[in-house]
Amino acid sequence: MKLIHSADWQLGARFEQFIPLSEQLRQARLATFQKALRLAQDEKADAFLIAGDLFEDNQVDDSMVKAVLSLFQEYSAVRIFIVPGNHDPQCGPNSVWNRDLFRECPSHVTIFREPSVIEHRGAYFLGAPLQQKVSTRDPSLKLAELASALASDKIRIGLTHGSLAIPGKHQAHDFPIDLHAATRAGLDYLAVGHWHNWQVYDEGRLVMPGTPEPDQFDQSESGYVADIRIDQRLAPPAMTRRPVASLHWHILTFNLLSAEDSKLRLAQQLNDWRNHAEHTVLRVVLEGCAHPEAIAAARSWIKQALGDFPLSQLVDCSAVAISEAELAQIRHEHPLAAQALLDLDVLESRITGAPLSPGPSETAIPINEAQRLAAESRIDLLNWKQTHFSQARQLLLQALQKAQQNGAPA
Amino acid sequence: MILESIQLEHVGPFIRGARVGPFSRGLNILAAGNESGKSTLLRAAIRALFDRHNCRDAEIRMLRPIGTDLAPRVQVVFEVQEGRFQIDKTFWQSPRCLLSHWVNGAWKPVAEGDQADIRMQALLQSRIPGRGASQAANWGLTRYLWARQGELCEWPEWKDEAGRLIQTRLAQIKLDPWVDLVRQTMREIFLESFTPTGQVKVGGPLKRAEEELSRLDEQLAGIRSAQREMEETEAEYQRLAVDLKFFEEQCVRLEEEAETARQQALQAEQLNARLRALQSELETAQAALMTARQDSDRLDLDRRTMADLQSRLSQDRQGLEEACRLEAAAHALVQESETRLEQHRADRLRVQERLQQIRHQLKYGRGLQECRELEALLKNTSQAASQIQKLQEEKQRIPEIKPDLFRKLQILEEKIRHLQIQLESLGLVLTLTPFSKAKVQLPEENFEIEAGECHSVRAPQNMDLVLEGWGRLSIRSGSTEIQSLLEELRKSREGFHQLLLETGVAGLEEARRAMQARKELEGQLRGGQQILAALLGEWPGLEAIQKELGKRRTRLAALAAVLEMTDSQDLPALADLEAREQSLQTQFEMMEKEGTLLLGESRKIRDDLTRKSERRQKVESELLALQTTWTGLEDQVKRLLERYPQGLEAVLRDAQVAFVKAEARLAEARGQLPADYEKLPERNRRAAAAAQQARGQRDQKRTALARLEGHLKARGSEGLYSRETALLERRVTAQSALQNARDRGEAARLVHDLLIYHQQAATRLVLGPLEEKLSWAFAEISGDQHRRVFLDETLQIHGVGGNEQELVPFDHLSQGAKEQLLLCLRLAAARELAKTEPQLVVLDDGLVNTDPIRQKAVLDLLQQTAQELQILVLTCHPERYLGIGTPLSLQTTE
Repeated sequence: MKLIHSADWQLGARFEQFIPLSEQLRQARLATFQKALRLAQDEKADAFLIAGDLFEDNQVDDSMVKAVLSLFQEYSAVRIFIVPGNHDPQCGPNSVWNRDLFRECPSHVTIFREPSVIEHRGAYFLGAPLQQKVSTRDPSLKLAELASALASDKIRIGLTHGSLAIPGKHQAHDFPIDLHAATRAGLDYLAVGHWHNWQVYDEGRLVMPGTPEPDQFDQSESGYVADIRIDQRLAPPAMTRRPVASLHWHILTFNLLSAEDSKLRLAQQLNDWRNHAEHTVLRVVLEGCAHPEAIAAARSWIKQALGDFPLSQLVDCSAVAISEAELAQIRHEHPLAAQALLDLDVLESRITGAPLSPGPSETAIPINEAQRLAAESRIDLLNWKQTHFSQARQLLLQALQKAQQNGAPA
Repeated sequence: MILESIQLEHVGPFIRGARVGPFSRGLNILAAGNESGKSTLLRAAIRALFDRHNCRDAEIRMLRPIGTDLAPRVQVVFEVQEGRFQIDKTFWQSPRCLLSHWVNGAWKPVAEGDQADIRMQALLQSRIPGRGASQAANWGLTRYLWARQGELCEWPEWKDEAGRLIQTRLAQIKLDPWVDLVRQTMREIFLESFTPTGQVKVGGPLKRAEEELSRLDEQLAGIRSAQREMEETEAEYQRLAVDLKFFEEQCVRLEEEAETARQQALQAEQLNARLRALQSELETAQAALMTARQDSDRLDLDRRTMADLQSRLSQDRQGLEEACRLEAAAHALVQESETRLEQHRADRLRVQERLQQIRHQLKYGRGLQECRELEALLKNTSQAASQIQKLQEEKQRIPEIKPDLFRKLQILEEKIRHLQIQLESLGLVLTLTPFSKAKVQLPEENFEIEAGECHSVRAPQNMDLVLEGWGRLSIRSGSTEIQSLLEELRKSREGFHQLLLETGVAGLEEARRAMQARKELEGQLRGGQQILAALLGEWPGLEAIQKELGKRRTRLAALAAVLEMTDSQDLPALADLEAREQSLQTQFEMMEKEGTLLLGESRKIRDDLTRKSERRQKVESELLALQTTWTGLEDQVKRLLERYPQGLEAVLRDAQVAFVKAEARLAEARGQLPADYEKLPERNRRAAAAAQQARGQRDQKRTALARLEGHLKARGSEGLYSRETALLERRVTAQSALQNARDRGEAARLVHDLLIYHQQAATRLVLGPLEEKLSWAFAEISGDQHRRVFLDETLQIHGVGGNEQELVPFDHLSQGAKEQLLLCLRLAAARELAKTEPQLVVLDDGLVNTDPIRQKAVLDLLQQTAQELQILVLTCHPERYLGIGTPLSLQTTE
């Protein structure tokens, strides 16, 4: 008996931190689903298991459901077993599984809407779907009940969804599944889904393959489906991790303090990934302090470098900084601008508690005066954060630079 | 900017047109009387320089000559740093605008329409407002350098760019031009999203982001509301599902119970039906037994009754014979009594007829006597009535004069006499004494007068007389009193004669006699009538007596016919008749009593006969009844015996046996029935009703659940999560845009404000030299060298005084001091600005509060600064400016 076990596809998920790339990420996830089905078809798997959370929510739109059904139709040779998870529980008429669209669900797809047993290719497939979003009850107990009524000579494959009852790692109301649930229910294999990283327990009989498509940068143990082989009843299952993820998630940093090094490193890395740039989710964090001009230059360079990576984003954590020499020059040439910069430093220090560079600060505007000025423009200065001051500094310096570039005023 | 000329057409008082200029580059004095149009000239120039040519604001409308709809046209020639220009604007109707540049000795059009307005704005560094006419704040430097009428004591705040420019130049601050650009950039960045007062700017990126966010939040709220509603529906669905399960189970249980109850009731019903059949059998057997018993009892009774009847029949036959004998005896007595009674009746009838005859005769005699009395009465009354008739006819012949009428006649007669006396005393008296016998003719009479006889003729007023041998003599009196007396006399006479005619008498005396005669006749009439009344008594009149007499005579004739009497036949005396009537009456009464006794006796005998006959009939009917009864009983016994051919005893015995058996079967069947079998049908009905009710409740829940299911399915297919996702992702973008716009704007504003703050701080450092300049100029005018002018950090004049602690605030200074101080400030500002571009200072009707001594100092100052500036003084006091500057005049078009 050969199985491809997947879970937590969460199709239709929202990616607020990746706007405006979220729609692309959703489409990529659908592509990965297709990839996994193709794998099952190519490997001539006896069954493709979806252990919960095929959909992110019961209220995903019909286009997503249609896309899934279309893939089911496309891979009609693959016998598919699905249990609803906590994201898409079979909990009522408004459940995604009760939509009219699923009336046309192909016959090779079985959705366990109720705890039940299906016999397929000489094996029992026992499904314990989730019918609510939270519960303290172990859903595998249903499987044990079902299994107790079955003949003992056939392979038993269980499917359910929930957290693993690891002390300190799970929440009580999150469908805690006993770590020996497979053995307890007399199952040869228990396909579980919920957590997004790969987990194996009960001597390889209980597997949680994690999400097949990572949705965060720190999910190292995701992006797989489980390839399971069970030769006979009570024989230990043979297990292989099969990578299916379409997207590779990477974070790179560009430090302004070592801009040239950062450039070299970043260019090298991007070059390595350029071949699968469309499948790389890339976040470049611009950090460190620099002159606005340098920051603008770095930002410009990074944006250009990321041009081939459609799923990339630049997170700018840089701060404006100018050297003492530059500051001295500004003091000399533009004392009013230097005075305003000093004001910003002092106000930032007073309001946010940021450290203040050593130097004279007596000429800075008193904070109550600054507050009065701000209040006239309806600005709540006391709620300002460092980013505000940084932006103010940056605007001042950029404007000064621009004015200087444009030549002397008339 | 300096001005070269201003030309107006259709403006204010200048309907045809006016022109002023050319202005000199120094001091220009335009002197003219009040309301001559000086200020209108200045106002029109301002509108031409700073307003849109197609502006239709009230300020523009006010330029039009009063009462016309002429289009104001203003042409201004001016000079700025860029050269010499001419602006020509026609407002209101068909607005036009043309800006020309003096190039190579000729005017060259450089812009027209809106473009010309924009170009003007650039040349004059002014601003055109979004709508409406421009305000002083839009006029750039002019706002500060042109003191319009009434503005000499006011100084605007240095808020705009022009103000800041002057401020900077005055204080001679070494401002960093790049920083100024930075400040402007910061301001522009701030103004992208905010208004100058810090409000969110409509149409700006921040507002757009806010609006987008608001729209998204609204949509999100809608989706969340739908989600909440779905969750509530889902919870309701779950509750209903649980309820339905309960009702389903309850329904099954109650249906089972109902089925059990139905079966039990059915069995009980079957047993009960058998019981009823057995009961019926028992009742049948019991009825048969009862019938046999009753028949047996009746047979015995009938036989005993027949024996009794036989005995009574023989007794009754003897009784009947005795009754017949008694009845015959009574019948003979009755016949004897009736014979006696008939004889008595015949006797009594004869006596009665005789009595009737006597009574008729008596009545006839009395009637005859009454007729005679009535005839005598009729005769007497007829005579009395005839006498009265005669008196009345005599009375009719005498005229009727009532006392008041007579009184009226008396008054009129008295009045006439009185009037005649008056007339005689007033009228004409003609005394005629002829010499010879003469005849005199008057209208009323003719008479003769002997010779020498004196005769007086009187007439009230006129007198016509003919004197024979002499002629007619007419005398007329003109007295009006006599006229009125005559008129009154005539009327009185006419009235008097009219009354006499009406009463039918000739005069007053005759009237008196008539009255007397009528009075006497009326007395006689009353006496006659009293006699007649006494005769009539109660009779209403002669006719009534005659009628009654007629009636009585008729009745007497009828009685005479009854009595067959003739007139010659004598009627016995009334007393005899009355005695004979009395005797017959007594006899008749006795016979009446005797008849009554006989009748009573006869009735008794007849009653006895009736009783005897009734007795005989009764005995006969009893006998017949007894015979009938006996016959009936005989038939009944016969029929009874016929019904039981096998014998009544045998039948009675068989019925007894059948009854006992039926009773035993019934007891057995009753033993098989459940103890509470009577309650089973009710229980069955109750269970069925409960099951039905449960089915109803279950169906209700099913329907509700199906409804919710449909609703949830529909809601579930709406893709709320995906829609929410799309909105949330858009919201993040909008939120980010909003935050960016806000942060950027606020950061720029803070930088801008900090730069201003430090600029002002720098200004404060250089206030001293400027204060020195102004103090010197003011001391020159006022002649007081000990006072200083103090400025605040915004270069507003703070006050004047020996030191900063004891200064007189600007607002507390006299109007003269204020206008002089501000003149100094204006001149200082203009001089500073004139270093880069020629400047015009306008003083419209200024220095009105300045005394003659200071006026001279002011003129010195103006003359001195006019070397660097163009100054235009508009005044209605030309004598104050004699000898200085270039005099100008308003040249109006004829």
